[in-house]
Amino acid sequence: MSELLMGRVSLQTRGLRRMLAANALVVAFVALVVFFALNSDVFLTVDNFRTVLLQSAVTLVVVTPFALLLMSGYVDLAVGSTVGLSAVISGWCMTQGLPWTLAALIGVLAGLAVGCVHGWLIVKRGLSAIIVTLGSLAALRGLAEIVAPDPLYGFPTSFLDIGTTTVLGIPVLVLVALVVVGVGAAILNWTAIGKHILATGGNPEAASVSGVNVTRVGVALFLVTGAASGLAGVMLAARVGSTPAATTGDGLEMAVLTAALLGGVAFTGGRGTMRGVLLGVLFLALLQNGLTILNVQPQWSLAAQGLVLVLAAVAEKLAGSQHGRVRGDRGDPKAG
Amino acid sequence: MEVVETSAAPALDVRGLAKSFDGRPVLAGVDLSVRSGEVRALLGANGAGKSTLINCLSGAVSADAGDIALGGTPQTIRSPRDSIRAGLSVIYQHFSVQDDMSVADNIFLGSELTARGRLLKRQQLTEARTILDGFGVRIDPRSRVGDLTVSEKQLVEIAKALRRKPHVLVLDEPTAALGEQESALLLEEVRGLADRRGVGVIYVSHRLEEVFAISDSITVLRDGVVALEGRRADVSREDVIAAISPLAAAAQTAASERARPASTRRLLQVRGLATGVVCGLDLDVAAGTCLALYGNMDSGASEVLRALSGVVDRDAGDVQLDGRPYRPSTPVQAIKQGVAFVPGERKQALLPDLPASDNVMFAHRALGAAPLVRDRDQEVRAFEELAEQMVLTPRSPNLAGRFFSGGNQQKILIGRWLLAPAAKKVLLLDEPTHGVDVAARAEIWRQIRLALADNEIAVVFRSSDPDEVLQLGTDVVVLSRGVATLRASVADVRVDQLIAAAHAAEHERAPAHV
Repeated sequence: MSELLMGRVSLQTRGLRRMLAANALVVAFVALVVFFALNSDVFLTVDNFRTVLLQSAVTLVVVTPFALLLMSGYVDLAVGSTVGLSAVISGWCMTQGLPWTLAALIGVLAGLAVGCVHGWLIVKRGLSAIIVTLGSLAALRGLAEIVAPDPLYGFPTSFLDIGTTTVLGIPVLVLVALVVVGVGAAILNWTAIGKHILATGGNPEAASVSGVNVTRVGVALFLVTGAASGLAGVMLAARVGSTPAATTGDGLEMAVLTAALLGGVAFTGGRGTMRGVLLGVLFLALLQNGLTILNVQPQWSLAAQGLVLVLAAVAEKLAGSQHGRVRGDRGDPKAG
Repeated sequence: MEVVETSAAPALDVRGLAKSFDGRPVLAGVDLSVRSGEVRALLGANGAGKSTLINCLSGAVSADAGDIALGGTPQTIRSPRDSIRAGLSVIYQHFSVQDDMSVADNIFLGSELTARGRLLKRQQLTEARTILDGFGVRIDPRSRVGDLTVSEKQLVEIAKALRRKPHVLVLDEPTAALGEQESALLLEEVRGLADRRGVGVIYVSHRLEEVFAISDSITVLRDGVVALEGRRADVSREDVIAAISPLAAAAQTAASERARPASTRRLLQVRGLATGVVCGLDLDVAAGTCLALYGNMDSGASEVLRALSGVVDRDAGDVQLDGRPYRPSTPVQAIKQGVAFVPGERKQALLPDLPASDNVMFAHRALGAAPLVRDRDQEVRAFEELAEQMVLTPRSPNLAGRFFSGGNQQKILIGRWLLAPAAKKVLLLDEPTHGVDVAARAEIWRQIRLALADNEIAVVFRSSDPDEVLQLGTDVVVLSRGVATLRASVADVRVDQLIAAAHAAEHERAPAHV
């Protein structure tokens, strides 16, 4: 009887803890906004928010498939380099006189090709995602610098207009990003594919015997992540107007990984929401923006970003410890 | 009970199914057939090939040879998808559920209800609720599966299989995790599926009671072939037991002839041990004896060994080793006091990339019987001695551990403790000959008996194989859900008593629902 009662009590506190953990990011987000708003006059303005959203557009396009990939149990550390390669390739095509539409398409296809290689090596051949994509992180950056040793610029104005045009006051690039996030959220929440992604990351063996084609899920997500990184590269070229091979998309893998983990995606897969990921991206962007406004030196800003990643890992550990083993679960199939 | 023949071709027809792992045949030409509306019980000891047979049907494993036909149509089953599409549903003993997903999402995983690509969540919830209500259990289809009890998870697994409206349903020990009431409901449900919907059922179970209550026909597998096949009405309990383990009778005689050691020096005394599911367990092991812990997967026998070996810290209890208090918190401490443990999974003990001689020497080192600076001659001598005694093949000290066959790996892992030249008191063996061929098995048993002969050490082993219990043990303690349900000298106990005792506590401790 007392055992039963204790079970109920622990269940309740567990529910409370889980609720807190789930909303920790919201609390931190509000605190961050309030802090910067109190310390700066320009932070809480429409213009500043437009800037933050514009800067986040590329991150949002990449983080959407990246987070889904993470939920399926894989990771792609080469997204930043893929963005750089795609930007350089499409930029080079334009300097060679190709119409910008064709150049943009080639940029996206370059990203798709990278995803294709990743999917084949990692999902089909079973190589480690961390090692393979860490390898391409370096290899693709090097390739981008080989393609364009000097920064490319002088793109057609029709192309550069994409970076500045607004519809109803909202930059086009932000609209593109919102569409991508919306599609990602719809797939995760409203389709069977979303369930298959979570199942593949949660327990691949069980997903497989349930009839989920886990190989197809993994390969498809690497392809989409590659293509989205390609698209993000083109968007970045349009916004910045030049494509320095060494820095375009540099460090993006850090930003998307931090945002996804902050948003409650499990690094080992099986868990996560798009709402959390979106909030994670905005949190990071506002942090960066606020620190810049307060004239904090960039080194400190980078250090803060790294610290947030570690904190996100801690938060994930805390959230994870509330699942599974709490009840002294005996049903562990691997222990047999 | 008369079975209505609904169609001429059997619902499932398996012919000459064969499968080998690493050159060791696990299935050697198995025939199995189930008509629509028939419940066929599938029995066999561990390692008889039941799991492999089920895995071949479910598509988790591809058979090497043989034909599988459903409703007269030949099927090529290369993946779980093929199997599900053909109308086969398997309910796994180890659950194939997703802990982080809801009950409804689990039930519909892989065959979701959609309309133009859109997931019909509400409809899935309603249907899931209907299916679960059919069991008479109250599980909220929205709750997270990871928060359910083991028996609730099992029900989710069953609901998932039934949802697909299969022609053939395979249940792998479905009641192992269920209480009495739930088991009864499940049996009724299975019988109903066969009688009313004409589903062909393959029912795998160790519980003879259940088998005789529910089945129309019985197949017993042994060593990868069909050892017995017949209608339930035509076979007796004794036939089935004899088919499962023909050695049992012989073992009985051997056990009664085996001399009991004269020594009564008590090496290990356990009082009120609590660890995992086990609570309040008492054990007494005298020098020169071999105590068998018999039980099913969830019996807790394995946890007893893990607690005694220092792998896990025990929750409560008093243990005396050779008259002194004994409470190791790590395996190193246990070994220092003379207690060594060989885990059930070889990969938990073997270092696959190190040479065999190094694998042997780990026991010497742990027991303090090896110098700090390596002595190559000593290492080779130690290996040679083990190879000689245990009839190890190949006798190459420099060959990496993973290149030895399973049986030879096990000889290394057990032999290194038996033969290490240092003071040992108790050897703890978890499934000492699991997945080992007959010859290696006999060799391992012979060496263990030999080591016990001079009444210096004692052995405690866990086995889920009654043959092994009767062949190797001096005494046996049967555990069921963490409770000792039978204590006997091996000479006085029969196989069916062991099996009955292994299930004895299941009905008393049915998991409560929240």
